Amino acid sequence: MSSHRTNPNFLNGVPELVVLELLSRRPMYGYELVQAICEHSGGELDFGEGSIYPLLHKLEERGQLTSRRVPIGGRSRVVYRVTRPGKARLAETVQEWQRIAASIQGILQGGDHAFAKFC
Amino acid sequence: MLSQNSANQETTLYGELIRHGLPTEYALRTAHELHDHRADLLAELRSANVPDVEAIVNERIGETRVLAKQIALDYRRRTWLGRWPLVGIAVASLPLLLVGWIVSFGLVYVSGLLVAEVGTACGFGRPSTMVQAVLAYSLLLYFFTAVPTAITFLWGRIALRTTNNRMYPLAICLMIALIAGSCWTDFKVSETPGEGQLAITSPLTALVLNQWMDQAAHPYIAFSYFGAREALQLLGPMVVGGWLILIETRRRRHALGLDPLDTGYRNSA
Repeated sequence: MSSHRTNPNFLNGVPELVVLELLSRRPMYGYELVQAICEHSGGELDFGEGSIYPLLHKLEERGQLTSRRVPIGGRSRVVYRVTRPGKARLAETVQEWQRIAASIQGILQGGDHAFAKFC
Repeated sequence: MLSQNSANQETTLYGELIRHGLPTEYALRTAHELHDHRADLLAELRSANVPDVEAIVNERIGETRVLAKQIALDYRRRTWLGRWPLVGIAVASLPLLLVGWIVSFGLVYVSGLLVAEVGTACGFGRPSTMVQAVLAYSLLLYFFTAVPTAITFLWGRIALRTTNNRMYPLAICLMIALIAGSCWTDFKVSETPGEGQLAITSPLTALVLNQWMDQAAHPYIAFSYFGAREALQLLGPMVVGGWLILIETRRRRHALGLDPLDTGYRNSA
């Protein structure tokens, strides 16, 4: 069995957000996408090939991505691009993520009373 | 060497994905994409003169069996039925059978009314006892054999596709066969309107009815405990369930010897 470690469970939902965001910038094929994730996250995020392709297929099935075979570098690749529903989902997920990230940041930095007024 | 190793890896991954019960098209597509991924990774590492690239790539992508297991798990988690197979697939088959009976009864009832209206308008009289008997027999076969068998087929296929597990279609066919097989029916036809009789019951009530019923008044309605129709009701769903499992087992065995590179994945998108 491989000793290669990918990101832990608390990142549930993050791969979807990252994939939609990166593909909204430009269409990419799987290998390019994995490289882009590594590059843009400074090597911090690594979801593993076994997760990325099923995720791409799932998003495609939901209509958030489309794919087509395109000849690139003498080989035929499956290139993915974000659809309109995919962009809508991305906007929704980004908002959600920012809210959660701000809350966690508040807990980590603000002590006991940071969010007392909301509770 | 590169292409041969990659092809071997892909063939194995494809076989493993099929062995986990994934649909052929999906397994082929995933195997192809991972094959391309592996080739890209190897090419990049070789161009950077990294030593022992095969080992690095194998570690990076992971062991084929582990990879296939993870992909199959992700595939199952896509649907609610895949995440909750026991509740969604096995338990839901009984309410589904009831719904199937209600819907098919509604269809027959409406069609019967229409046929009767058209028949009366065209001047046809009451059908002969022979026609009535054929109709009654056909309807009983339709309700208690055809409908449960069709539900077993459809639900069994959905179960195979969403759970990748042959135990669920087996559970579905056994449960539906038991329910359908224990519905005991009989009928009496008559030339006089209002004298025809139809009885549907379960084995327990049939035992009581046989003792209680006045056979002189109802000479045609005597419940056989296990007649040809009951055997068909029991066997229909079981044969279909068994056939689904057999086909799936053969598909999994056959896939192990296939080379997906020859068949070729074509994306229609």
